[in-house]
Amino acid sequence: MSKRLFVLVSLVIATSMVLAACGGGGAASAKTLKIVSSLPMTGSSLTQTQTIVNAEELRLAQANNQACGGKYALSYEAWDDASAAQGQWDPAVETSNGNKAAADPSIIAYLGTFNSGAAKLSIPILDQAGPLVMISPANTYPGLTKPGYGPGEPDVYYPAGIRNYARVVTADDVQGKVDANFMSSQLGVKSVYILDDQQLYGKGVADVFEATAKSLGMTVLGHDGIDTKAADYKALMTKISTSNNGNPPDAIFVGMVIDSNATQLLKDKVAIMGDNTKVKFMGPDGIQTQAMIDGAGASVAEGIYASVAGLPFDKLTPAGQKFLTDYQAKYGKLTEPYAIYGYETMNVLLAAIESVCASGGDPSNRKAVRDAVFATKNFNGALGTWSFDANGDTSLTDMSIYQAQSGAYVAVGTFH
Amino acid sequence: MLKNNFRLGILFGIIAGLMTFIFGGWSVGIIGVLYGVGLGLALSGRLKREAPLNMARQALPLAATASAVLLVMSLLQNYVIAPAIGQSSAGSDIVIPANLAGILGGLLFTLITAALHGLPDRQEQIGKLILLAAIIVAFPFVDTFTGLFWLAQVIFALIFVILGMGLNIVVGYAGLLDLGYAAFFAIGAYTTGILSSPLHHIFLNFWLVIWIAAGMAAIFGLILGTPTLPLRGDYLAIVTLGFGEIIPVVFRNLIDVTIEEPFSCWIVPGIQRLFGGTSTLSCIYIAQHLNLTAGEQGINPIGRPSLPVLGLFTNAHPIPWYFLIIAIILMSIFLINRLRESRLGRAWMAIREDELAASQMGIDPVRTKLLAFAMGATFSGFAGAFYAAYISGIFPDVFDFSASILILCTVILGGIGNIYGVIVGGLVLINADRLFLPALKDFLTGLLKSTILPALAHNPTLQAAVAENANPILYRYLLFGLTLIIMMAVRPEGLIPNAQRRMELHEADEAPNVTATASTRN
Amino acid sequence: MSDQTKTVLRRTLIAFVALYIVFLVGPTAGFDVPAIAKQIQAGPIQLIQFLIVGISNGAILAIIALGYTMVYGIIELINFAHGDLYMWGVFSSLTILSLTGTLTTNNPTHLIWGIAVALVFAVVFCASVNVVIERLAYRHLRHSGRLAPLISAIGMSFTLENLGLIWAQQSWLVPSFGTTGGASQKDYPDLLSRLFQGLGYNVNLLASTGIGLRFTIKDLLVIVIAAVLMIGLRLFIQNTTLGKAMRATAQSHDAARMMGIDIDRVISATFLIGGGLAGAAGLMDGLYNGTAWWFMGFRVGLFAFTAAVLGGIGNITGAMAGGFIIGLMASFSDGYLNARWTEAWIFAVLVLILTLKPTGLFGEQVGEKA
Repeated sequence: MSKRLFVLVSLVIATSMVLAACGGGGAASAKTLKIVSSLPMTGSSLTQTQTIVNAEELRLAQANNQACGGKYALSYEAWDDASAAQGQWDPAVETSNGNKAAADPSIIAYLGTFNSGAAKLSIPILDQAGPLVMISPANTYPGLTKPGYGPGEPDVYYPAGIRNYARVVTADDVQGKVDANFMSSQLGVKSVYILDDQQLYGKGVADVFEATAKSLGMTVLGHDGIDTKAADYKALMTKISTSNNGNPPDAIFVGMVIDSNATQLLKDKVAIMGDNTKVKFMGPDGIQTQAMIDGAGASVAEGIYASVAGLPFDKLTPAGQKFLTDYQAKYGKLTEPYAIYGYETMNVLLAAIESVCASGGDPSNRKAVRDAVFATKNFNGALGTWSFDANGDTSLTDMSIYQAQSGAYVAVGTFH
Repeated sequence: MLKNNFRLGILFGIIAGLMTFIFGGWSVGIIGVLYGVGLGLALSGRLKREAPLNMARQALPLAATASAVLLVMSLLQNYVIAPAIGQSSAGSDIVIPANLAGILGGLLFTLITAALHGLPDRQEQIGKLILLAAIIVAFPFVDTFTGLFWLAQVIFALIFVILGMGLNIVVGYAGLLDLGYAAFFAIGAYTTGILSSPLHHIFLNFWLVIWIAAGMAAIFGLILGTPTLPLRGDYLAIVTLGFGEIIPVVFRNLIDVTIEEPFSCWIVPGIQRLFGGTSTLSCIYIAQHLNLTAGEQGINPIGRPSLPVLGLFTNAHPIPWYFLIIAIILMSIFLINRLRESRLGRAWMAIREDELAASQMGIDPVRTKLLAFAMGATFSGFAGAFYAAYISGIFPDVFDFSASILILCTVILGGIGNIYGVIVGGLVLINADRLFLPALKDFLTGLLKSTILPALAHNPTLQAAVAENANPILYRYLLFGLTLIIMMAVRPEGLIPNAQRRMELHEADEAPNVTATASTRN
Repeated sequence: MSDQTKTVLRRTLIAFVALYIVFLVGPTAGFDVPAIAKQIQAGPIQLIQFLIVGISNGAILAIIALGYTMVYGIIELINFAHGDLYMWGVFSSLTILSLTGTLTTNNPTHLIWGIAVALVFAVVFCASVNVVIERLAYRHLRHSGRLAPLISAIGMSFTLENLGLIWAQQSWLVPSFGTTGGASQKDYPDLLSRLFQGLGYNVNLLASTGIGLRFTIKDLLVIVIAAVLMIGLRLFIQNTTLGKAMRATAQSHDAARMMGIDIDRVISATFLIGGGLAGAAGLMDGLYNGTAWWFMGFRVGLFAFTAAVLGGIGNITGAMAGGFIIGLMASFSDGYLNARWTEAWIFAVLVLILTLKPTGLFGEQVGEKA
């Protein structure tokens, strides 16, 4: 019996192999260029990162997943740099994503990261791999590209001695300054209490804000880091409510993202110090999301301010407006601020690939793509017309200030 | 008998095939070899013991069946499943060698493992060790060649294996439930970060730092162990949990360290002022506004090891890292086995079983417990140093409560008290989190986007609802949680329990409260 | 010198050295005595305000801690899923409030009925879920040592959290969840203030005194409900047959079984009561703090469990006391020390107390297992 079986099994194997050989014949003729993104697709960040991925896929679909007039096929994979056990971006996963991208020669660009801390790990890995260009839709920590923030920054991130990291979003040094100027000149704030969520992003903005506020002559009554997992902040708000010689401060500035318990903080602020007309409440783009107003309740959030890099949606150029309508048609109404940056990363990358082709270069060469990305000048994208400087920072420094009015953020002005 | 064995062969083939469904591409090669070894081991207990060649002959039809099942499923994956989940089928340049490697590897390793069972015990053991060593050595090269990139996840899992082995000393041997073990991991990592990074412009050599890190972790094991000495059972657990919560907060916040001698700085001047005088003392301080740990900014880059021939270890070449951590693990296994059989090791187990009786027998419980904490912490110091250098950056969030829980899970899942069980537990659990669940997620996402959603196009409301709620990305925690629950339901004693514990658990009704924690609370 | 004097001297010395070390390194962690003294001098009334905030928060923690301590006392399981059950209490009550139209009404009668229905539903729902959890994830592990159920409980905690995340994106069920996905925090409207304003009362009971203190109707309610629940539970455990069966089971499963007690039923009843308490705490926390979030159970659960152990495992008075201590610690640390160090201070005090009193504050009253 076992002999017959053996013959049968061998037959199955042989047939399968023949089938495999035949089936494999129709391989794609166009060469494939692979683009990956590395964003935390878990837990609290998911709301934002999902819209970034959607926007990147949207841009790619608009190009029919191909480049250079069909000579190259483009494929896109959205990698996740979070782990379930960690619940947020995980250094080990980001490192392994970086290594994986570096080792796969078909990958020509790395769109990420979401968290500036993650960028610190993958920039040097990718810098030594070609260099493989990295375009971030969301990192705002200035030290990634500019000197003067941390020891050895930014050169420690570029061991190959050549920049490979660019970002389409304006860094925090601009945002903190604009926010402080706005508070001082437009709101007439004299005294301010600063809170941050101790994260790279939140503390970075808050520190710049503090320095600018002091130089503008505002009284900084205090600067505390909060415990982002606390159930409430009533005691902290009580303390703040008398920090100005027994009175509440004119304003509270929070350097934080919404996931750092920002809505609870706002609720307790309103419970202790009243609505947002007497004691103003302002934060960076981390709280400029519909979720902030929904989570706090429209009446509680009424009157808070938030700043975002770039122009408000209704002031966007036609290209930006087109993105908004296209996005809405495919995925529903867009309320998150970072999706357009995700779109722009893919946008500028595709333009760079086309320009490599146009000049007779080879877009599967990482160095060529990197050079083309850094050569981006007067790019007419969804965010407006802008350029990358030698550091890889965008030339756009427009900041829009929004105010929550009747349950939605309304733009009140653009500054820079 | 034979029929049962065939069923086993088909079962192995199907399990291996399902794995290829999820991973696809080259994975069938590695999965083939792994299932081969597994099938061989499973068979060797069931087949009649004969001469090695006869053993192999006995196993052949089974192995062939399993291989055939795997092959059919693997091809099914490539030509039916892959398009259904929106991936392109691999070309014949990959399919043929990968499947050949899978079938032949599966066959060969089943036969070898089965044949080994025909040898005398001693030789069988040596043979299995050689087989294991061969797989361990070959794995990174195969991984690099096939471009699967499992190596990074495996290295990370091996870090947790070391952590698990360290925690196993505390929980498994000495019976002290520690819910804050990640604190020592953090101390090891931060010691390395501080002593080998641009933060303080100190750049000590990795080969030195790893020992300092282990030493620091051991010292903190003693310091943090001291207050727990009078505590029993779960009170001990909660205090260790407390330390586990404090340490990340401390590392996150040591960005503005001010240490001032209190008498000269405010006590004496304060009293003087109270009586209307003016302060005459100048404040003596050790540190003012020192940024010790860089907080959420994290410390990076961190110095990396280098060796004469290999040069500096880099990200581009993960293989040296892999062998480094294998070496650390081998050293740890050796040391821990020695410890376990030493006088101290027996004292730990005596304390675990009955602290009162043990102290009556002349065992000093204070010294024994403290040494358990210190020894356990030492290994996490190694792991921390390796982690810091390998990632080249550390951030305080990594070391919070969830890390402690994950390490504890690997220990319990693998089989508490058994060092080999802990190794298997670490590999299974971490690879489940890092390798299997993400691949499963991608598989399901692809299936949803390319097959299910288009099929629902006639009903837009349903389509939108499914797209919103059935997205596998949303179910990561659930999958991880269910993995834990199911594993515990299937094997509550762990994958490879220690023999003694298994016996204890199987006379459950007589001794329901024999546990790893102190079983006597009086 | 007598031995007694020596002991006293030694302890004084240790206390002095410990205090000196706290003063030495304290300023880094916000323990800066001159600054604190200045702050108290500037606003002594704040001290009372922090007390009020601490007690109110402690009351919510204490109710959750009761559920922990009951389960803990009876099967010695650290039920990690309990904190997440409380999160389900928040979401289930919010869902019912939305379905009954209570979220958008200003009518006091409607509000009262809506909240009452939500309370009953949240209690029944969480109680049933807790019984099912015990049946599915813990019962078969009762003889597998204490660590296997612990892992199972952790797995259950992940599962409940994830389902909470899915729950939070069902905006067809609760329109106010919005379209921003399940991960973001959801608004739990301040219905109690609305109710009392609608009835014509001032929400702040001390507003008329003019000394700037806030003691709201919500604070009062939370504290009263916690006290009632604690006393009720104590009476229940002391006086009813089921309560006696619980105590017997906590002491020894085998002996209880020999006395004719149906262990499975008693354990189910314990989970039922614990789950009901978590549901009630969920509603109270929602109304008091105003936020629903899928991840909120983790931290609160950890603190509640800590409170249970701090007070003495299995001891109801102890769980309450532990809850209040942690609430007060958090409030004073946020107010006088430094908010970013609060968690570290809480656990440092926990370690200190347990080192001085190894069985928790009220631990000796607990019957110990053989």
